[in-house]
Amino acid sequence: MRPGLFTLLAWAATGCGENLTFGQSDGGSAPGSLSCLPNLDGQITAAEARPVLGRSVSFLVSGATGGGAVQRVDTAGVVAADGRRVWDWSRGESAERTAAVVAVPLAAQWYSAWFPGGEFVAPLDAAGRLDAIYSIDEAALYLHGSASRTESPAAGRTLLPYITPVALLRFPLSVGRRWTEVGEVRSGSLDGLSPWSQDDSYEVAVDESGELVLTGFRFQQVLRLAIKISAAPKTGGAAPTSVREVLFMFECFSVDVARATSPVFVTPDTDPGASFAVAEEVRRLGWF
Amino acid sequence: MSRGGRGVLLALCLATAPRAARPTGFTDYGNDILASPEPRYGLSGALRLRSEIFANLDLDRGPTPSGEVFFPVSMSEPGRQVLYAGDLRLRTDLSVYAPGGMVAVKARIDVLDNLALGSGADGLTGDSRTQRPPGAAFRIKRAYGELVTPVGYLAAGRVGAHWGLGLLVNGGDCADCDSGDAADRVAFITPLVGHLVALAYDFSATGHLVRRRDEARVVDVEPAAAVRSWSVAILRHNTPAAHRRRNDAGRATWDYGATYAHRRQARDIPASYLPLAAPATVNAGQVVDRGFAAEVVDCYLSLDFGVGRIAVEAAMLLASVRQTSLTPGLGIGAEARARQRGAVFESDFGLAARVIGVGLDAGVASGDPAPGFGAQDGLSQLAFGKPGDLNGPQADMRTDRRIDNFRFHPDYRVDRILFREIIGTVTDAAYVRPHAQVRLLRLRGAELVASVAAIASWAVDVGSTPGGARALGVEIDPTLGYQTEDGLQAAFEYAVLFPFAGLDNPRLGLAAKAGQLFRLRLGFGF
Repeated sequence: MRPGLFTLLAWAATGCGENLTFGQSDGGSAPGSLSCLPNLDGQITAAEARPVLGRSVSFLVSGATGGGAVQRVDTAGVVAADGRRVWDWSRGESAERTAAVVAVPLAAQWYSAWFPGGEFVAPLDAAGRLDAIYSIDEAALYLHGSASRTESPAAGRTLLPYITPVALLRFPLSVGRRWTEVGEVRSGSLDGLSPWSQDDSYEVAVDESGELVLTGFRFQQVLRLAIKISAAPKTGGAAPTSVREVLFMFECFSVDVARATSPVFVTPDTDPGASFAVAEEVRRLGWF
Repeated sequence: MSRGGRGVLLALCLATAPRAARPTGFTDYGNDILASPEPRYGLSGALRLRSEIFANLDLDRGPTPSGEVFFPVSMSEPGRQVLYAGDLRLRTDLSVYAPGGMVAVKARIDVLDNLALGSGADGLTGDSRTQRPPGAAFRIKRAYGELVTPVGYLAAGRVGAHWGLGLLVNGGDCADCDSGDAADRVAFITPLVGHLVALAYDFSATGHLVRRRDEARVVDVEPAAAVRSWSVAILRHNTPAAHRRRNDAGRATWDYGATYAHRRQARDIPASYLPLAAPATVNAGQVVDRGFAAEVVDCYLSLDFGVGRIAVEAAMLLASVRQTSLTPGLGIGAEARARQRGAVFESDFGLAARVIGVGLDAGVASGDPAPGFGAQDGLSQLAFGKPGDLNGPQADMRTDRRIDNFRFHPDYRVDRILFREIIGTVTDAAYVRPHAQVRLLRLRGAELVASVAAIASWAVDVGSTPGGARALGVEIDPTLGYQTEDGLQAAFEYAVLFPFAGLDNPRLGLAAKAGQLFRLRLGFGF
C-alpha cells in the first residue's frame, strides 16, 4: 500500500542522497545504427555478409542431422510466369523446433589457441554440440575448423583445426561462381579419438538466384549455394562420406536464411545431386 | 451574405495591428490583412532564457532491462544526484503586408533555438573568453503567403499547424514549448453558414529527390514513395476580442470544430531515413512496398462563460501498414494496424474577479500491452522491448501487430517531470490535474501570480509500465509568475514527483524515489 500525502514530502527528501542508478554514462537509449542495408544488386559482398557478433538469429529446424529421419524438400524451386525462380519453403514440418544461432568472438573459447587467425565462432550443428571457427575479410569467409563446444564433453573432445583455413564463401557471391577448397586436419581429435586426421573437401557453386518464401517472410532476391562436403578420414580406416547442402543467402543477413542438408552418402551412385529432394535436416529463418 | 461571412468581414475590419505568424492552424484566416497605401511590416517575438536544476530525475530505480535509465546521469560521478541545464531562444515572427489588403507573407525564424548556455565555448574551455555562434543559428520554421479573396482565404507554404487544444496537432506557440508542428500546405478557408470550412492538402514527405540540370532545383523521381495528406475541417471560432465583448455582455461563447484527415503512402525508401552506419546509395532496389493509410478524426469544444471556461478535445487515429519491413527485398507477410484514442478535458473558474482561480483538467491516452510506453518515434525503437522497459516499440511482428497507444503532442503540457522529462509525453496513461492560482499583486500593469497543480497519473495498460503496476505517481507543480504589460515574463517553477509502484524496478528490487525540478524562465517579449 502506498503512503498518504503526508509522507510524500519525506519521499522527496530521499532523492537527495547518493544516486543509486549506476552503470549508465549517457543515460540514453540512443538508437543503434544499421551497418548494412540490402541494395539488391545481385551479389553479396563481404560487407553484406559480415556477422554481427552477439546477435541471436532464430531458426525453425526440422529433422536432426544424423537422426536418420528424412523429409521432402524443394531445393530446385519452380520458375514463375515472370521468369523468376521461386522456392516456397513457407510450410515446415509439424515437428519443428527453434534453434538460436549466435556468432561470438573466438577469444573467449577454450579452443581459441588452436585456431590462430580465427575471429568468431558459430554453432556447427543444430544440437549445439560443435562450433565452427571462422574469419572474414574482403575476399572470403574462411572456415578454420571445428571443435566441441565444451572442453570435455561426455562424447569425448573434438578438435579439428585445418592446417590452412578454407575459403568457404568467396566474395562477392554471384550466380555462376564456383570453387573447391580442401581443408586438412592432422593430429586432431574426433569424439575423443586422437590423433585424428582427415581431408574435408568443399565444392561450392552459386548456381541460382530467385525468390524465397518462408513462413512470414518473402526474400525477393536470394542466391542459392549448392555445396558438396566430403570428409575423407586418414586414420582408422573409415570410409569417406559426403553430404550435400543447399543454402540460401540474402544480402546483409550474415547467415544463410534457409538451408537443407541431404542424408549422408558414401558412393557416387547414391549422390542425390545438387537439387536433392529428400533432406535429413531443414532449417528456416524464424523471427529474428 | 451568410452570418458567418459577415463575421469574417467584421473580423477583417476590426483587426488593426499587424500580426505575427501566429496563431496557427485553421483559426488563422487573414483577419489581419488590411488595405493600406504602403507595405506594412510587423515584427514580434520573445527572447526566452531557461535555467533548470534536475534532482534525481532517474528516480534512483536503476536501469530498465534494456539498459535505459529514466533520465541522464553523470558520466564520471555516478552518485551525483543534481544536474543542470540552461538554454535560450530568440523567436521572431515577421509579417509583411502588401498594399491593397489582399496579400501577406509571414515567417517564423527562431534564432539560437534552444541553444544550451555555454555550449559554444571557444578554444580551451577553461580559457574560453567568448562563445562561438552555432553552425545553424537561424531556423526558419514557417514561411508562407496569404491571400484574402472575396470567397475565402488561401494560405500556401510552410505553415504552422495547430488544432483545437493542441492534443494531437500543436503549433508550439506556448511560452515554454519546444517543438511545434509545421506543414508544407496549401489551405483554403471560407465562411459557410456561420462557420469556417477549411480544406488543406499537405506535402508530408517526398519520395526521392534528385537535382535537375540547373543544380538549383530538384525533382521527385519516386512519387509513389511520397506521403500526401489532406484534411477537411469545420469549425466555429471567435477571436479573443470577440470573447471579451461577449463576456462583457454576459453571454457565453462557444468555440468548436471537427476535422477529418487522411494520409497515404504507397511505397517507401527506408534508406533515406534509417540510421545507417554509412550512407546507402538510393536506387530502385531501395524502394519497398509500404501500403500505409491513416485516418484521423479530431473534435474539440470550448465554452467560455465569463467566470470560467471548460474545453474538451477527443481524437481517434486509425492506421494500417500492409508491408512493415524496412529492409529492401525482404517482405513481411503480416499487416500492422493501429487504433489510437485520446481525450482531454480542461476547466478554469475564476472567483472574486479572477483574483482566485481553480480548475480541473483530465486526460487519457489509449494504451498498448507491449512493454514500455512507446512514447518515442519508431526509429528510436528498432530493438524489441522487454517487460520492465520504459520505452519500446509497441508492435512486435512475431506476435503483436497492433500499435494502439495514443501519443499526446509533446507540447501539450500536463506536468513537468513524469510525462515531460521521463516518459516523453502522455501515452498509455490517464491523469487528473486539479489546479489553482491566486493573484498576489497587480500594480501598474504588472501581475504577480502564484499557482499550483497536482497531477495524479495511472497507466492504462499495466504491461507497459516499468514496475508492472498501474499507479505511476503524484506530481506537485507550484509556480510563481510575474509579468508586465510591456513584455517581461518571469516564472519560477518547481516540481516534485512522488513515484508509485508503476515506476519501481522489481527486477533489481529498487523502489523509485522522488525526483525534483527547479526552473527559472525569463521571457522578454516585443
